[in-house]
Amino acid sequence: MEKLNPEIKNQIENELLSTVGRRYRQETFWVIFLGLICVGGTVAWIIQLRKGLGVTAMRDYVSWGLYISLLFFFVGVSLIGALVSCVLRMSGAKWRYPLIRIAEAVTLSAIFFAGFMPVLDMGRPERLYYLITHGRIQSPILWDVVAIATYFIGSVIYFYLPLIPDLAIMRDKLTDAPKWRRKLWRWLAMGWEDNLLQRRLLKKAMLILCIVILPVAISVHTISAWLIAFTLRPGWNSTIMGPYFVFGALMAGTAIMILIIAKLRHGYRLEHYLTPKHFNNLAKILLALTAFYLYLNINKYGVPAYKMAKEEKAVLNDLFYGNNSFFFWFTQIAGLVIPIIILSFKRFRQSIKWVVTASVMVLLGALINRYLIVVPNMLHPFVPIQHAQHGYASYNPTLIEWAITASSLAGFVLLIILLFKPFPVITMWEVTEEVEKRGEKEIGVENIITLQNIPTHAS
Amino acid sequence: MQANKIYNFIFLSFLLTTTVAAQDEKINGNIALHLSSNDSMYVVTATVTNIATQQPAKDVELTFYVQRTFGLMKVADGTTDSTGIITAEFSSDIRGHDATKNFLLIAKVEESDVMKDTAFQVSIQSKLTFPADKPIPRSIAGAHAPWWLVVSFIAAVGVVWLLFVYVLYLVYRIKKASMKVIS
Repeated sequence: MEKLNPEIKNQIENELLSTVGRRYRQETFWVIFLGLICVGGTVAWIIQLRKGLGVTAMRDYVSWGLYISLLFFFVGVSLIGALVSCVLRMSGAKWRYPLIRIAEAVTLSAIFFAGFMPVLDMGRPERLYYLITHGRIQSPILWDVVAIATYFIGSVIYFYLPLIPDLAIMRDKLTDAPKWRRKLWRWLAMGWEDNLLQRRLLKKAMLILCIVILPVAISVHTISAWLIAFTLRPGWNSTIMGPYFVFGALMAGTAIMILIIAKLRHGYRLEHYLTPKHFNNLAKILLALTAFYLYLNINKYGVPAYKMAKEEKAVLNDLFYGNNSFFFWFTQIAGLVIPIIILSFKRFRQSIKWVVTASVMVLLGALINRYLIVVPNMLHPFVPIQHAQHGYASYNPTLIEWAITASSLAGFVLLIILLFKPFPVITMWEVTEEVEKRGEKEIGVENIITLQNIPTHAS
Repeated sequence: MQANKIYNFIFLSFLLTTTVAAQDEKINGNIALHLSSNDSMYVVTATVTNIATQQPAKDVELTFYVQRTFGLMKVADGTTDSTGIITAEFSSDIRGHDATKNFLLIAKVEESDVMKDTAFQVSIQSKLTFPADKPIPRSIAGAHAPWWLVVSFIAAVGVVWLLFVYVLYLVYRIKKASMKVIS
């Protein structure tokens, strides 16, 4: 493939840079809306800190409620960065390039809030300090804290590395930006000149991080699974928990990735870069993961259900016929079976609307599934509390919990939006480089070589 | 062995809790507890009498609990015979819940057709020490981490962080590879 015409390259960069710092009316609405939810959640958290965890519905039975369910969800979603940046890289999928920064932004936001959820679950968050000074190295809680912190730092670095050449482009092109921004870009661009040595060093750094981040990402979610699998409780006392969490995480991460690129494609008018090919390929991955997750569910619930051991019976009955049966069957049917059927048909996979519909169902199922992993099992311990107080044997989250949970989810989305304000959504240098090397088709972009003929908001 | 004598013949002394659901046809009862033990079991004999008539109360369902930190642990139950007596056994492998090694045995009448709800308790000195003289060895969950776990943990985390530092060093070299002077 020949080098791109400098004018076309310039045009591509201009188009991708046009989203930086730009205000979109719909986006502004969402930022304000999500910001208000976050403010509400912060007020709720202050109330919780002042009055203690008594303002939540968490008691002796259910001591991990919505907060820890959401921790597992966020940790899961954060795996998408490892999938796109590492797994797809190692598998040689060239179409991943336009998705890399989006995946890393999702990862960064998810792991940030994953680290925040245990703090929300603590009655005395300042005691987190003692986990560092008095932490027991045998405890999966310590492993989890270390793994999340490590993955967060790794994700920040991985977000930054491919940004260096783009920061240099911004430094050189956006000369009319405010002075402080230009200064920041110049500082972060590390004197990038696109010379051979710099390219070699950057690619080496990205390769090393790609190899390191994958086991770290898997360990984060495996350790989160061990938090519950190391506990002797019906439903949790299972060896399947590690892979069950990892694949459930990849599934949820892929679903949320599809939703975010659908929104960005439309909102930022990135139709040339985020094309039906990306949706189709992600839909295939989602299909494979959803089918495998259904298989894991059959093992996780089917095997103990066949035996119906006395200890497991109560929690299984709760899920199959009891109070949580609606949620359970929703996650299995609407969250897994129906998306599998939808995504099995090529016609639906090639339709962005259908792929998005299936992703919404998968994501909703995954979110509820995290709740079902945590709460019903806590309600049915091996040794029930004798004469537990009224309300201990059930869990109905309070308004405070709902507010804090909603604000965490809102904060997660808000942080992703804010990460795309100072930086371009698509990795400009990698996309243009790969288009030069392999052509548009393999990268999955459309008509960017003839971009000058396409009217865009940037022109 | 003096301790054995203490709990071999403990006689109930006081009433702790009183009637909850007052129904006229139900009697108010008194429970006398007599405790003995053999090598591995406590044997508790409860004599239930009608307070008004001082006659034995038969067919009264009685449940025995031991007070634990977060609630009551059921250890035995049964129904009184025509002499108002019930005998039950429970394990003597029960640790006291304070430094004096005492634990509470509670006999409860709950939702009985014959007698109003009532509870009697007696303090018993455990045969076991409290706290345990030596930590119970529980491998990984023990008080001290095994060396191989410490080494594995530090090695795994250390390698990852060293590689992070190396990647940042490469970023530093990117900056050094620049021909431009960065202000």
